[in-house]
Amino acid sequence: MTPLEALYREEHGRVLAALLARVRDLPLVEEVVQEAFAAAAEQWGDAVPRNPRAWLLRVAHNKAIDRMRRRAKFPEVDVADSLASAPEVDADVGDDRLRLMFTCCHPALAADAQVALTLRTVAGLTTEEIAALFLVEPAAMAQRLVRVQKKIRDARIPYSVPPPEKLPERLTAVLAVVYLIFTEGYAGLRGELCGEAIRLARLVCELMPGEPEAHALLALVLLQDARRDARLVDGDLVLLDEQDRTRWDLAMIADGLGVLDDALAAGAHGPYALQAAIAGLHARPPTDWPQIVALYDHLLALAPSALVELNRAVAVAMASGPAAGLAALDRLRFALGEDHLYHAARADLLRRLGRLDEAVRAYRAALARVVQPAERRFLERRLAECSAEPT
Amino acid sequence: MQYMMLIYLDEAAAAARSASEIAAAVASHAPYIERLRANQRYASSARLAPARSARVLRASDGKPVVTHGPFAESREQLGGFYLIEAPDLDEAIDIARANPGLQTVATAIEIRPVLRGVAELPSTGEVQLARGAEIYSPGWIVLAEPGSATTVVRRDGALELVDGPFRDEAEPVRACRLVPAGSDVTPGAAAIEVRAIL
Repeated sequence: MTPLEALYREEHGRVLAALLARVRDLPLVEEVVQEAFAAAAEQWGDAVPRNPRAWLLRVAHNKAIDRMRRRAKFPEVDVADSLASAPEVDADVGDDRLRLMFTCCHPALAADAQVALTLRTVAGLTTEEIAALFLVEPAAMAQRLVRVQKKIRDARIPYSVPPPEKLPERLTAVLAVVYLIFTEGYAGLRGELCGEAIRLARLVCELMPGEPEAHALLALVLLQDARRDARLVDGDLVLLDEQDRTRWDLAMIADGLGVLDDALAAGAHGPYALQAAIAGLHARPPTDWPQIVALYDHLLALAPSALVELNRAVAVAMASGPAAGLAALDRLRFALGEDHLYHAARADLLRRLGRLDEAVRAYRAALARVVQPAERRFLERRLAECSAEPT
Repeated sequence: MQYMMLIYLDEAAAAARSASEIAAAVASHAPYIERLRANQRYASSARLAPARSARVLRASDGKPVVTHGPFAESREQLGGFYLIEAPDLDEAIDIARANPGLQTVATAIEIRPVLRGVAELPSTGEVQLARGAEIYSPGWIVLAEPGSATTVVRRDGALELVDGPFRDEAEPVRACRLVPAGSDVTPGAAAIEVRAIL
């Protein structure tokens, strides 16, 4: 990353949020902030201004006024009266970014739109970068982003932190977007997305220090990400119990455990806190499997989900043996019969029970449904092992 | 600013109701309108004659061609609208959710931002809906594109929020006005659907 690219990452969200507080026109603001950075690239050379943020904000602001005066669709509306003075540079910049986050994660926007817009505006990724992360054409992503930005302007989606009665629900939506970005990166083995999610989680914590669930989410993504590298050896997937623990990021684990302790002490008890507690136990060998099963039980009581039940069944197998795990898994056949993870987990337990014929069939069922190449290679390797052993 | 709330309903189900059920459903809107008025949120509303009674005007070689019947065949049809005032989308959504129509035959309310509204509207006569293109002439209410819509959908008795219009249409409503019955209109780029107000 060049210094200017790094500055873009760092300052884009701040400048955009501050200007949007004055000019409630996201497509326009997006455009002029873009142009301000382009002007910086041309004009700065080696002479970066002492306060680059103020420079960018002033240039973007001037461009915005200019643009609005020239292209007013309805001349009867005077666009400039509210813009007479330039925005103050450091006034409540943090709050502006928080407002921006709530706007991007508004419930009137579809989940994929929330994710793309948060990455574009708050995290400062370029449209091309987001398109690459979600494996779509840049033009298609640009079109999606333009649609959402126009909607925010035309439908007047509020640019504010929600009132107390709506805050819990709306904060849940913000945290869900951050976690969605993380899981997208984690499942797809795209580390950059995980990194962005961690940055966003840190930002939410910094902006809302009194929200334990936000801190629990930060703990969760840190603890999961710390083990990300160890999941792959030469591009192949390695299961948790076979991972080389020297490849875990111990500093990140310590960081995550510290954040988790603080979150729990502050009263966090939601889904992220429980998942973070589970991730914390995984990160501290020897793994306390009965405790993990108990935490999954809490999690299921809070938010029933077939995938969580699948994870619980795997934990049961570790705590009480593969036969008990298999029994727990069998109850999920109807809910998850089309999911490769169900068949992969079943195959693994059958293999451990020595029921190799059944294991082979289950691996084949998993292979028929798996998409991700690293996971596919892993399953093929296991299938070969089971087929090779005499039955 | 103003928001247009396009109310979609199952016409067959609506027609199957008894006269007293229809009367009760219509009456349920009176206290809702009163509350909107009291809070300076009300601009206009109308219940429309069924889609099959529509007149549709299209320009063909510069001359208007009239057809009769629904603008598009579908189980769910536009059955009415509310034009409301609200400071932002959050309040518009709250107002849409409280619409009594969602307790009876309405299956969805599409909330469309109004780019240019009007102050006062007659509540009898006909509504002219400009479809496929905007009309900026005076008196027309100009709606934002369907991409800016938010829809409250009734599904299994619960209300859900959906990003976008109720459905993707080749020629969505882009502007409308209320006029005395039989008023003239010249279709241009837009097709004009004319529906009587009940």
